[in-house]
This record gives sequence, C-alpha cells and structure tokens, in this order.
Amino acid sequence: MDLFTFIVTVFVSFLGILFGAVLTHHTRDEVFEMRKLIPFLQFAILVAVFVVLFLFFPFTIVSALLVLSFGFIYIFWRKNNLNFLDYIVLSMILVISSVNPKAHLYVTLFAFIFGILSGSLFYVMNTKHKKHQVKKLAHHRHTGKHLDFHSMTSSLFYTYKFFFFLAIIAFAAAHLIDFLF
Amino acid sequence: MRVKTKRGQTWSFDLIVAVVIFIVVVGIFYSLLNRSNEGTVDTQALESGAKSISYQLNCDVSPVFPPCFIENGEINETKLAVVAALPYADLKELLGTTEDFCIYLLDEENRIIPVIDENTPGIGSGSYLLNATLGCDGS
Repeated sequence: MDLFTFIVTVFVSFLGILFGAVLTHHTRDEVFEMRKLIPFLQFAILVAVFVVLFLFFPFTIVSALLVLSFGFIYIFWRKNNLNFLDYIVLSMILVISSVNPKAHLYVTLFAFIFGILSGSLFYVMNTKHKKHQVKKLAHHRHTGKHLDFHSMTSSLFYTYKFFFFLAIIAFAAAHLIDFLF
Repeated sequence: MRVKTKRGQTWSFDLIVAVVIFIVVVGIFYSLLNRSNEGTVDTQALESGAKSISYQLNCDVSPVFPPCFIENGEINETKLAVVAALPYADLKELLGTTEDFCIYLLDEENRIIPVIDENTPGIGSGSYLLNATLGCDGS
C-alpha cells in the first residue's frame, strides 16, 4: 500500500473520535444511559480486529502481535491508568494490516467504529451531567475536569492529530525496516 | 500541607520507550508479512475480473457492442467475428481490464471449439495456453 492511500485510510478511521463526540453532544442523554456498555463494545471491536487479522495473516505472527498488544495495554494500564493505549495498539494494527488491502479495509472500518465509541466515552467522562457525575468507567478515569464543547473538541482534535501522525511514523518506520532487511 | 496529585494523562519515559519498541517490532512483523505475500497471486481478484468480462460479453446483461456477442443465450456469429477481429489491446481497453485474458468456447465434452477457424481458437493473449503448445490467439 502506498503512503497516500495509508494516510487517507488513517484520516478516515481516526475521524471516528471527533464524529463520536459530536454525535454524543446531540444525543447526550441516550449515550449517558448506555455509558457502561461502551467499554464492552470497545473490547468487542478490538477482538473483532484481531479476528480479521487471524483470517488474513499467519497465525504465529498475529498471535505474537496479540500477546504484545494486550501485554502492552495491561502493563501501562495498571501503571499509568491511561486512556489512549488502545489507540497506540490500533495505530500499529493499521500499519500491519496495510500489507493486505482487504484486511486494511476491515480494520479501518472497525477503527472508525472504535473511534465513535471513544469519542462518546470521552464526552460522557468530561461533561457535567444532571443525573450523576461519572468518576470511573472501566479503565477510563475521570480527569477531574468538566469541559465545554469547544475545549472538548479541541482536546479530541489534538488526540486525533497525535495518533494520525503516530500511525504515519509507524508506517514509515515499517517501510524503513522492510528496506533495511 | 496539600499534596498536589497528578490527574492528567502524561507520557512517562518508559511509555515512550515501550512505544518505540512496539513500532520496531511492528516494523519487523510488517517486513515478515510483506515477504510472505511476495509472489502470491490474488485469485479472488482474477476471478472477479473474469466474471466482469463474461458479463460484458452477454448482450442481455450489458448491451454494449462491441464487446458483447451473446444474445438470448446464443452466440451471434457476426458480432463474434467483429470482436475477434479487434486488436487485443483495444479489446482489453474495451473490457476495462489490465490483466491478460483468453475467451474461448468449449463443447459438452470440454473440447475447444475454434472461435473463427483452426488458426484462431480463442480471443485474447497468446501467452495464455489452451493446451501444451497452442496459444489463445493461435500462436
């Protein structure tokens, strides 16, 4: 896959984060009601992404990637309680899947849906709600701030840009390693 | 004394190192996968290309002449002769394919029926062999 196609697919897949926040802004009560379901849906999507990888790539390599990814999330989850670990893993999976265009298409789709859920969760976690405050939701920790819509979209846009560039750097690094080997 | 707790999400040095290692490992996996895919043929793409060509040959499905020459389930010999006379490059462009192809006819016992005569058993690329020695275009 060429760099331009990869950039376009990453652009689309991570757009889900912003899309999710905007959707939740307009449907906040409905999303707030189902907030506890979101982390489970995110986990289901991560599982689906790995199912796609198992279908398209050799078992041994995908198994190693699975162990590496969940090991990475597990170690830093416990250590720092960070919310963005899933996206580091998704960026790497987008790079790996670019070997097969069909697999990349499915992974892009799942990453987009994952982004919608992440954006929604971020919105729910960082806005004041009339019913209750959300202190902790699965591994997602409340940051102690309540943001207005503008601050939230700016923050999500920063996150979006960061993972966009991380995926592109990883793609360039993968090509460099491939070239050096 | 009030202890200020860090509540924001920060990147620690070990996380940065872990991400760099992760990128390197993913790069190695990418390289391995890229190598294992080299030299393989995407048969699904070839199959869908062949289906696309067969649809375009059927005037009932795609009424564009040329390249269609099958009408009501039967071959229109006049149209077939026109299609067979087209240069291969032009026909390839008409069918919208970049892959080499061969259009040939078989009878009930899977024997080749020459499209025009013995010298022209099929329509398409000479690199496609209909048997051990006979190319699609009779070469």
